[in-house]
Amino acid sequence: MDLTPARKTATLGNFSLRRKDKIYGFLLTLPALLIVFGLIFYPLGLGIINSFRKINLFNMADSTWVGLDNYRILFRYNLFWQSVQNTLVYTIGSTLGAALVGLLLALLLNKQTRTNRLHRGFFLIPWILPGVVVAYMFSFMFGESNGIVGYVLTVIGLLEKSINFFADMDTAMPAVIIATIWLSFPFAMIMYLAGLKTIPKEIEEAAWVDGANLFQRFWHITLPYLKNIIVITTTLMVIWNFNFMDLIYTTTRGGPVNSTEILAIFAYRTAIQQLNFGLTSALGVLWLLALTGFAYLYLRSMKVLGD
Amino acid sequence: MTSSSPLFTTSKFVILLLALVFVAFPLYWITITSFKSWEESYSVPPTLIPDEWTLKSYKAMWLSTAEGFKELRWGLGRTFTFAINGAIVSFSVTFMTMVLAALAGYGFSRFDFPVKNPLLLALLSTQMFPYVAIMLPIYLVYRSLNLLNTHAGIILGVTGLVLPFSIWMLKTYIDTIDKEVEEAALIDGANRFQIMTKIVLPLIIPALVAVGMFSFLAAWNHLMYVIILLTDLTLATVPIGFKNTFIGFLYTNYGGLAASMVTVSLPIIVTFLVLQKYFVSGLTAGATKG
Repeated sequence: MDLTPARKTATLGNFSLRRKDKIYGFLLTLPALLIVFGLIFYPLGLGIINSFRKINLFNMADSTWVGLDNYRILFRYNLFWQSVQNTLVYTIGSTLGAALVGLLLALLLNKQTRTNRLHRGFFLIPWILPGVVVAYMFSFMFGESNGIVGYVLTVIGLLEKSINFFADMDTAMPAVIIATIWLSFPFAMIMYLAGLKTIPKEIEEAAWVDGANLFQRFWHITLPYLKNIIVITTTLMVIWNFNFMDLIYTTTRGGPVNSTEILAIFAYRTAIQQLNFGLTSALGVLWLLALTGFAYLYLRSMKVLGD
Repeated sequence: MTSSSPLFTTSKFVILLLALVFVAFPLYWITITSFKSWEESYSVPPTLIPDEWTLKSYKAMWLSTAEGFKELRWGLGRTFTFAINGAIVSFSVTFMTMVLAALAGYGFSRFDFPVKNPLLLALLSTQMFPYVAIMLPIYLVYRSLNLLNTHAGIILGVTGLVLPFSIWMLKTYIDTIDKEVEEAALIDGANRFQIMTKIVLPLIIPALVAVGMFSFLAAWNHLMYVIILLTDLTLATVPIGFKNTFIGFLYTNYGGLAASMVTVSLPIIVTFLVLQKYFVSGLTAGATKG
């Protein structure tokens, strides 16, 4: 067998000491990178630049530099601040809710039995349905005249007469949060289940033998083992829920009286209805800074990210 | 309280039952609504089991060719037009993502090149980007490339969104596979392409199935780009198609809406339940190792 020096390096477990291999490896990644850079990073850069310009959509050459004007307008916009507030309520409410439901179910379904496997499969269904389908599903149930939820609540005496939960200022936000929990808890559940599998059996058994009770075992063994995965999962869910507009776009469109106007809907309005590209881009930049800042600080404070 | 006490067993049972009802009821509700008559879907109080089972809603869905929507494709009703559009977009996204992510994942896992780590981080950072920051620039880019109102535009856009996560998933998976077989093949004179198709490909099939499912669902359910980049309703995919089928200006046809919801959800639910094992392990592999 011909063992040239180059082939010897290959046997030593490194594929890429040769220059040719480096180029080959890079070429493999190139098509995917072109799409990601062309359709995410390039538009993102364009958006950052546009946030300092007043854009004339119909004649791009007519667009002018306006410095921080777009940001100033945004900060003076009352609806913007209300959207920020609503977004925080929506994101935190739905993420916490989904994380709690997911954790509870993961703990209950952790044992590898046949029924648990069936339950786990069933509980994943909400997550794969289109957000729009889920939105209509809940519209059916929360609707006014024929909504089953309103009807049941009147029967047990909690409501005087059935209401449309999506059309009432006090109930619209809780209703969209419940629907969002419904479709997003499965993700938390499968991630936690994967985390639970990493807990060594011996440690659990030792604690059991030492007479630790259920709560102690959860607090001192399960939780420390799950910490990283909980942190990563909540980070992802916060980001996803922050961006998730399907449900509100379909059910309330930000109403009634802006009570569910989240930033994604606000941005949709400034972009599509008002065609104000500069303002929307400024919003996008602030949004990006906020999410990146959140992820960095959160991961740092939970010590998931190394220094 | 220990895990065998009656109190524990009972509360476990109650929580599980509540969760089952919470998840199952909405699914049950649209299913039976799709079999109710038009009048019954509006009745107060609502009926838990249809008084009279009917397939009228499904017939309406099959035939739905309302005003202003004459230019139907393939001569089918709206729901099926949107489902076919959705299938074209989703299968294309799935195919492109699987091929491109497999190549890139292999490249990132097995080779070293100068800017590899910054590139991997850049890919990861895209998970944080708000759609809002890119949706308008993408509109401008698409306008200059004549990609507005085309399926190709939506396919490219959604592929761009799902690629970063898919590449990471496959890279992490390939990292766990032993290199020895590939090295032996290299020494025996196999070329790179043969190694990829004959040795690596069969080994990464579970992860590829997971990536395929992930990208198919992402494309099938995607709303944002479809709102921004398509104005031609005959090209719309499932999420946007819904709004325009059974929701009229004056009334909503609950039965028809429910029937089309069942129709577009059932195939993905069945496929998902069949391939669930791969999907879950592929999705969680990266997270538990990292």
